[in-house]
Amino acid sequence: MNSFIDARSVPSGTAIETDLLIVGGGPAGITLALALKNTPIRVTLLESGGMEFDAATQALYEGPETGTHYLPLDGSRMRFLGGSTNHWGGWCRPLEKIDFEQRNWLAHSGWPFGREALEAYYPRAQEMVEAGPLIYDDAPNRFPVTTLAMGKGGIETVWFQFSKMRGSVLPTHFGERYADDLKQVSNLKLYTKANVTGLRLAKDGKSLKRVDVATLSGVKFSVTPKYVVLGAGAIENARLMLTSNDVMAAGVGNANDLVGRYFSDHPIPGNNATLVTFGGKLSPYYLGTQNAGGARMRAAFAPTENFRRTRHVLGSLITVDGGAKLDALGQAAVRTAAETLGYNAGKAHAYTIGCGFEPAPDPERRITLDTTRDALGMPRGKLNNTISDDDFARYRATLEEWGRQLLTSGAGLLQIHHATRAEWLEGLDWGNHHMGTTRMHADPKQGVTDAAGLVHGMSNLFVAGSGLFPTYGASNPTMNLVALTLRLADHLKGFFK
Amino acid sequence: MSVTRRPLVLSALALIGVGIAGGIAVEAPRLLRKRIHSPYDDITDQISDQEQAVKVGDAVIAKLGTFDAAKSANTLRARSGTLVDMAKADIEAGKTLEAGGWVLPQSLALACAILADQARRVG
Repeated sequence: MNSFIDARSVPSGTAIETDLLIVGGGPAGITLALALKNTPIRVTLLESGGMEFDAATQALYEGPETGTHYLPLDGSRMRFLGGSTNHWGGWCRPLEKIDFEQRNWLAHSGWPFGREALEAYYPRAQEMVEAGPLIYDDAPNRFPVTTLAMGKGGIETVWFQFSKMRGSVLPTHFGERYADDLKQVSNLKLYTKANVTGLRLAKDGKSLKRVDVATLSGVKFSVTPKYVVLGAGAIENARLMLTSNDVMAAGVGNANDLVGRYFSDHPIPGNNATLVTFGGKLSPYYLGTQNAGGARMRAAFAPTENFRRTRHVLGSLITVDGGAKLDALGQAAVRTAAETLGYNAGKAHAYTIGCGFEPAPDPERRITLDTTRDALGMPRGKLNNTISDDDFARYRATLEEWGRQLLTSGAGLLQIHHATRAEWLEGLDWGNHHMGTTRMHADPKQGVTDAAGLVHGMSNLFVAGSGLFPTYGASNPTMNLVALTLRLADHLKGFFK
Repeated sequence: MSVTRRPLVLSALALIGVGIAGGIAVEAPRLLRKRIHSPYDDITDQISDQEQAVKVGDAVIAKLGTFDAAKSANTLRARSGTLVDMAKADIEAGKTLEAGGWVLPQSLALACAILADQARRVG
């Protein structure tokens, strides 16, 4: 078994040669390294952190923000082996077919391939995130469950699965979980405490020749790879590319001023609605995770693909967060609606509703470089965050349809809490799901990388992770980025045959 | 064995008495509910619990800003069917109106608003 190499022990000035360099030991980097096990490819992985949280390393993530309130940049990701899986909630759900499609009513939409390109990788991704057998929306056929009968309409019950570690400790932290597996990969050398400080290009700017590495203790060395995959997260990948501007003035891969743009996350407006069910309590599957079918399952509500297409709304995953107590107006509304429409609301129960939804791609929601520098002398990343009134309106249209559908079926009644932008923004949270900054597109003028993740105009620099997502869907990104990385692994193997 | 008629009659009367008492217990709250009479009774009488509906109507008026009961009543009268019919048709057609955020059929929400408007006038 190999052991990890502490980069602080590497003599300064060392030049390491490798076939493939992976920058970042998060879910993408770890997945890629494991997928290349037992290949002739000599793989080097550089991880900035160690096996545990370290405040000085984490501080490298600090950066200023402008625009719509967002989470602190050093608080919404983790910089040690396992990356942001060290603080994820384990929520898993594959993207929908429509999430990949170009929609003429949604600017900048469309992946360069359909969901079918990832289909073959989802089973292995599901294994990597340890979420049990692939069940998801087939749940009602796998085990007895009573879902809310809502009749025909634009909203349906959908299913999450949850990552789990051995011993049922939720969820899978990739570093902790896969450290031993990584040590058994004979063609892998994994350096901890190794920070990439520069991507050095050939003079023609068409290939990456060398990567500069530094530790916080002052050691500096370099890696000369045949191929490089940036897997440091959507914010850090963009920052690295923008920072490395000695050959290409705008930064690596940034000839069309796209690197860092289209940043996204899932807005989470908590307690955005109250659901009243007329016929009694909801199944416990809606209220929390339950063991079923060999997996941890949870039901939620979401707009159907047909509703999304016809009403031009984006993805949302609507969760039941807990019980609620109705005020006088709520009681009056339930009684008036039920009595008038002839529904029996004698067993009515009220619930608080939460959600995570998909914003539209916005080039102005972006990562740029700040004038301040981190402890390694690198410009800090700066976020300009946005969320448009249309983003809120699209989710609200979904709730309005849900309210209508509940009335149609007699299943219940819905109260929508927010109407104005100020109301939506108050208490708005975000999912820590960084996406979009190195988006894929076949056209270099519309995307940083091609469909494989190869940076346009470069011969040997790839990007991995959710920074590649051109549109985002509402599903949590981890298992989807793992599937995308497994696809990249197959692509890279082709270069070494 | 001889069977006298008296116990049977008493038992039957007792059962009827229990039934009537039960009926009163169930229906009394509804019968005793405050009714708001107005020129729009043809619409508002179709709402069973008017006290509750007034609360909903107040929220509808607040949402609309300005409210004209006569105009709304005429709009509803121009449609065919009962309030229930109209409400169900509204739901199918996606014609909803919110009362304090509660998603309601437009016709029912307007009927509640008429009721609330008239309650303010008589109150």
